Amino acid sequence: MILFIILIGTLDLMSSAIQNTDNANSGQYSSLLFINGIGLFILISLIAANFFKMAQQCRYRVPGAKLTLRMGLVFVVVALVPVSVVYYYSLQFLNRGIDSWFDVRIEEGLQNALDLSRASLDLNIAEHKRQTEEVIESVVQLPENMLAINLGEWRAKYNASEMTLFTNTGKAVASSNVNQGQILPTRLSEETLFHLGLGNDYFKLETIREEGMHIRIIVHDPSGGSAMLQAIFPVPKRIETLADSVKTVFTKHRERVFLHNALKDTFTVTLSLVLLFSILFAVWAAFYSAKRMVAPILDLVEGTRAVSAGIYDKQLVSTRNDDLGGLVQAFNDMTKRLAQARNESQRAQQKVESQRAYLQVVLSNLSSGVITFDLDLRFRTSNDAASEILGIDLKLFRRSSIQKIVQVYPSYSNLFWPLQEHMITSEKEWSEQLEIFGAGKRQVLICRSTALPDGAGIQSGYVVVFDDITNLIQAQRNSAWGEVARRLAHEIKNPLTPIQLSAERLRRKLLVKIEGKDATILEKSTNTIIQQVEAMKEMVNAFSEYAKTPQMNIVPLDVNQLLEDVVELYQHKKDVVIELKANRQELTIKADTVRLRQVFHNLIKNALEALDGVENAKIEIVSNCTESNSCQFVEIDFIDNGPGIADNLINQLFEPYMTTKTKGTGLGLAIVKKIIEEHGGVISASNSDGGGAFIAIRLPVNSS
Amino acid sequence: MMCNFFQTKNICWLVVVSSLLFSHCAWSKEDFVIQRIETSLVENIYILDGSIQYQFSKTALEALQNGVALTLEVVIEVLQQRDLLWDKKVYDISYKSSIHYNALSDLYQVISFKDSTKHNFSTLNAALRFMGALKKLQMFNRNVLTPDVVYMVRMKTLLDIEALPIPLRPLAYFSSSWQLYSEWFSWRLGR
Repeated sequence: MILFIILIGTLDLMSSAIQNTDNANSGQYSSLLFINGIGLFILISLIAANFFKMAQQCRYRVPGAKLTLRMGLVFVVVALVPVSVVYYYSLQFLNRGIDSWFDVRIEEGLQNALDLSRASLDLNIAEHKRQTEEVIESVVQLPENMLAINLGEWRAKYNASEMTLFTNTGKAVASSNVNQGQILPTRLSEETLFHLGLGNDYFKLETIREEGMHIRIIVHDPSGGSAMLQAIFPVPKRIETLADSVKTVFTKHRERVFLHNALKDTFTVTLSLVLLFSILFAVWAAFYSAKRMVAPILDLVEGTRAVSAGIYDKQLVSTRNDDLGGLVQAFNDMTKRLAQARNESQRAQQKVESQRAYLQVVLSNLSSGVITFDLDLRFRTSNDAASEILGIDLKLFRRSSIQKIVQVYPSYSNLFWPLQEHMITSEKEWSEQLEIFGAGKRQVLICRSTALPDGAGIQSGYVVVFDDITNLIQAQRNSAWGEVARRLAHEIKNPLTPIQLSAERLRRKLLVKIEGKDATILEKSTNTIIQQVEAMKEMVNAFSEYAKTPQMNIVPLDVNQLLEDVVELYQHKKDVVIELKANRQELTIKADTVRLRQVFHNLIKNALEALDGVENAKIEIVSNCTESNSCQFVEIDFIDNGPGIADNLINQLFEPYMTTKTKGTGLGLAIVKKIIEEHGGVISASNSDGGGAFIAIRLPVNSS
Repeated sequence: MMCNFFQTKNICWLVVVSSLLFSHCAWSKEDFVIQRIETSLVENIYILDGSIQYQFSKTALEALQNGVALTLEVVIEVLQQRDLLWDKKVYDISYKSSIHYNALSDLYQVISFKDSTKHNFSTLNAALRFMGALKKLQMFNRNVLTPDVVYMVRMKTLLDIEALPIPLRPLAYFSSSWQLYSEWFSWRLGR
């Protein structure tokens, strides 16, 4: 900007110098032109550099560069067109104007005026020449001492300012001057002498010693002598003034004519400089304005990018009060609200996350299994307890249908089909006790379900909560049976002894007193009473044994060895083949040897009783370890080829008092189950493929 | 920062190339010749006598005939000779005189700017001879010099372009027809 101001100033000075050459600045024209040239060069360089920089920015796709360039170019074109038109027509007017100064008629007129002046002066010169010749003719004959006086007279007569007689070598012989103080005559220059030496007379209009215009006549002696007479006549003031003005004007005009084209060029250069500076200023102003206008847009671009990158609290600085300033302000408001919304969303999300985590922890630590289904009855989620209870990894079935689950685990159909039925009927809440045979055992599950709403309260699925109450039921049943057994044992056992003692006493007392038939009756009756009391005592003892929970003596024992020992005791039975298959050489578990032996005995005795009357009776005892590499469970199967177990009894086989035999307490298998369960194992009964009973015992390797 | 460096570099190149371009225009053959120079010391004032041969180009002559006054300048410089550094200018003086053609009287008038005297000549050659004759030109006082120091004097004469009419000046700077000057004429100043 400063550069522009300086250059405009110098241009103005240049312009005034051209218009008025008497102006003080005319002497500095060249310096001003040089300064302008340098300034122009610097300006062009700066603008070119800016242009280059902008082109680079466009190439590297700097935001706003193209827009700035486009806007700048538009401004430049808008500025250039009128400036160029003005320049063109200004130049035309200038050239025509200058051309009009040099009218041929004016030149002719001036030439005529000059010629007229010359003619007028020539007339004077001719007259004075005549006078000078007259004088030299007169004085050349005079003696030397008379020359000065005579010259003075002639000088006064013809109103000359000086008359001097010279020799042909230019030496002054005599002189007379109107100015008494002027002692020395006007000397003849070498050139004049040379001219005179050629025999020519000299007559010129000259300015003599700053005393104005004079006619200087030097004539030779007409008689052929060597003398020369110089006479200087003043030109009348009026004629001198007029002639001088004509001369001056003519000279000036001739100079101007000579400088015609140069003058036009000078004005053209100056005008072109003005045009160039105007254009350059327009270009600079155009790009500066474009940059200023685009700057807020660039800020907005930057702000938009920041928002798209996730920086929502970006605020732009705006100092403008125009539309763009308003846009920036609106952007700032928008980002402020976005930031607030984002913060609220984050807080809500954190809340949801913490609630979810809380729910996750609660669900994970719930002992009840929780399964959720969507409205299409597809499995959504479950907690760990559900997988644990069912013994399957439910997470593998995410988004699977119930059919898929049942297809993979058909043993769970008793659970999932009822669930599906309830959900299809769109029962909002329901509760049911279901019995399944999953995870290698019988399970009783209490299931409860309810509709699952979404955030808007619309049903989005179902949630099923179930608990394995098998153990609870079993424990309740066992407890009940135990309590019954204990009470029964206690209540019945007490009167039995007095009854037995009374019967023995009666027998002892009366048998010696009576004879015959009465004695026989007495003996039989008392024997019957005593035997039956013994039988009842036995039954009561069995109940007591079932009811009590004895101290376990857990020791490591080899199951196979124990089985061999037990089977050895029955080898004398010839009508039954007892086959022992041990798939591993040693199966060591921690268990109570006595009680486990009791289990094996009971099972073998049951099998023998079931095989009574069966041809080729066989009992197969198979011992094995499940999960072959890491033996965690020992499985012992008792398989016979007897009649098998009736279907209606199979579920209650291990219940107390469950017997098909006429004698026995009905507690054998109940005690077996109790012992197995005390060791943390499971026992199950089914019919084998051959039709006989299949009793499977599974005991953990480390008894809990 | 790289952009600024390249901008400066480009500007420098442009300046150098332009200077070379424009300086070519200034080269010209020698039109003015300093033929003889004699200096003498009179009453502590160095006096110069000499002769210069002036020869104008056709363009200059045409301008003169058309009323343009031509100004000739004689420049004299006194330099102190130094061994390690360049010679130091201790004194300079210039004399100007102009010649212009009087169309009315058909005379060439020479005006000396030193004493404002005017001399008229009927021929150009006479006028140029007069201008070239340097007689008893007072240069400088001896007191401006330091004793026991070697001084060189050099002189040149040139056509003063700045004295030309403004329209002619731009052209004169770039035209060899107007670059009229002599070479430096140097001599050692006698003490």
